[in-house]
Amino acid sequence: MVDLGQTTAVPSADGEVSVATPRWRLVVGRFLRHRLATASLVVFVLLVLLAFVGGALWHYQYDVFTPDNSHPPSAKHPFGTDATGYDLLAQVLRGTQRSIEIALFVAAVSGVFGSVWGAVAGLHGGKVDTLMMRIADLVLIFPAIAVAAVLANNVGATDQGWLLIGLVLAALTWPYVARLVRGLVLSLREREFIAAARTFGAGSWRIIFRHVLPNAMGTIIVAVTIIVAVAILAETALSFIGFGVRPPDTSLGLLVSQNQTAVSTRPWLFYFPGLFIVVIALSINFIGDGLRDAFDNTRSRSRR
Amino acid sequence: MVAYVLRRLLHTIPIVLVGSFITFVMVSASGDPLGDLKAKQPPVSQAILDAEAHRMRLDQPVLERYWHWLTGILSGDWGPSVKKIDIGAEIWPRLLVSVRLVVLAVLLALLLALVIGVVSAVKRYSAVDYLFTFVGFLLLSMPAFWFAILLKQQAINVNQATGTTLVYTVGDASIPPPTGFWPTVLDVLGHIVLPTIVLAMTSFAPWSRFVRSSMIEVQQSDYVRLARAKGLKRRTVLVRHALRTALVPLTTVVALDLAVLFSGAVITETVFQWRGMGSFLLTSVRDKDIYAVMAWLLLVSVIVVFFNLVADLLYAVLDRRIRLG
Repeated sequence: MVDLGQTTAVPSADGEVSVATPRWRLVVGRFLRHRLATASLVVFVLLVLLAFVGGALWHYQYDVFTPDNSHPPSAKHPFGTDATGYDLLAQVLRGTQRSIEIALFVAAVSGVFGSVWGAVAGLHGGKVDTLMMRIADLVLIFPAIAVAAVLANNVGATDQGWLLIGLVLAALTWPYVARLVRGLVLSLREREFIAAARTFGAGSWRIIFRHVLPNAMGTIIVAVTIIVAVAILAETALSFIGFGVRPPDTSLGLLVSQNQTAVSTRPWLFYFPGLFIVVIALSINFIGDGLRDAFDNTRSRSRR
Repeated sequence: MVAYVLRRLLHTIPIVLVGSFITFVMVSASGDPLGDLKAKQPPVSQAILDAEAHRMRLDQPVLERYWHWLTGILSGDWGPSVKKIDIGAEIWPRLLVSVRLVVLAVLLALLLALVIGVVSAVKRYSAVDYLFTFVGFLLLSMPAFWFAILLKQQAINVNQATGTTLVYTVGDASIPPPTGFWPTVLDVLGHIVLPTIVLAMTSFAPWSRFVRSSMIEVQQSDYVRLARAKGLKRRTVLVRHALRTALVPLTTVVALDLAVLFSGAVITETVFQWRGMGSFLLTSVRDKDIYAVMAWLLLVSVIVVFFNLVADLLYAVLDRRIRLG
């Protein structure tokens, strides 16, 4: 149970007896039964491939304009072109790539940092816990968009800007993970296997990384998945108001912002980038929902 | 109860102070407020730069600047502005405009969340439930700015087709404002309809999911089954017994989301070109107008903290089991 990759049915060192089927296979099985989530996973993987591989193969570049100005969608330019002659498909693929890169980075950083923060707070309890959670709560009383705009105002224009935007967004999302993990740890730390590990003389960090976090993995994975969707929306919103990804680089939010005045005259410029944001966020949210059901072994009936 | 309220109120003061100090250091470090002035061509004389730096209190250490700023607010001085505006006079009317939007959006979102949550819980695993679930996920995945532009464009089309202005698509009120009380109210309402819809629609989905799951949980509880067993009508049990219990934790969920709603309001106001807190924040950040940004962060964080306190107190009032000790 403790080790996700464990396949044998022997009791693990901490006294938790593994069931006959390895846990990861149970989880995968339950996830695959959730048809919408499985379909969403396929859509998301295809989108990632399209953005990262397709973007490189497509014969137009996002930052090199073509002689065609304001062309509606055609075989030559499937998503049309804008007034300068940029091929929108190339731009959307580049934007999707940037948005997904940033979102995955945000989820990884805030997932790791938030998990450790929450686990340390929950395991220690007392004054340490109170102080640590107060700090986490402090982040949540400020509207993220305002803090992100202040922090990203200077960094967006630089070459590694997208990484810094990711760091800013991670700094604003980790408390959600920390709260969840802390709540879970509070109940986990009363369990026998933690007490057993303590009597064997395991230190705090060993208990956190070897015993607490692996058992909180389900919750963390679900939270991190949701943060990917949140980060996509936050990054596109930040780019929309002009504090995220800046030209000459591009992002889906920046494309919507640049093309918002074209909504009635050249609607394709507005609809395609927006639809990509919706499809990406929607598929991730469905994947998160499927994972939640898959990891939730307290629920006897799955939703379908 | 009074002692409890006072104690909780006292607990929030250090939170606001620590929050304001951290943001003050962060905002001060985020850029040079005189950057634009220094980059001017032909260059501005050093004497003017020094005078500006002194006016912006840049010649003081950060700690002293923070103290100066904090004590200044108590006497109504919000600090100097790069653009030489009176921050206090500028921000209050804008705060009113934005709070109006956020409050209306919260009310509409609560209404949607309750109706959809209860219907989904009662008819769970039915076609209606799946439809609501899907729509909820769709709205959860909808970027507010994209949705706002879509809605704005539809409204413009309707206005053009009917040759009238049913709802306004630009601004928070007409310029110049109409005379008389009722025309003013109608004018404001006409402007606020679309932004309220955008903000409510993009925020209610997590709340309706929450109502749905807590209603399902409550419906399986013993006391609801008892109420049904003793012959009370289904509707009475739903509203009087189940919904009342489910509502209590919702107050905390809504209060926690308040900061997120202000983020949404900034985006929505930008699309509809309001003169609210949104444009104030964005121009202030762009101009590196540190005291203006700080005024924004302080006011909004105080509002968020205050309503979280109110939610906690409501929680205690609604659920007597919570000990006030």
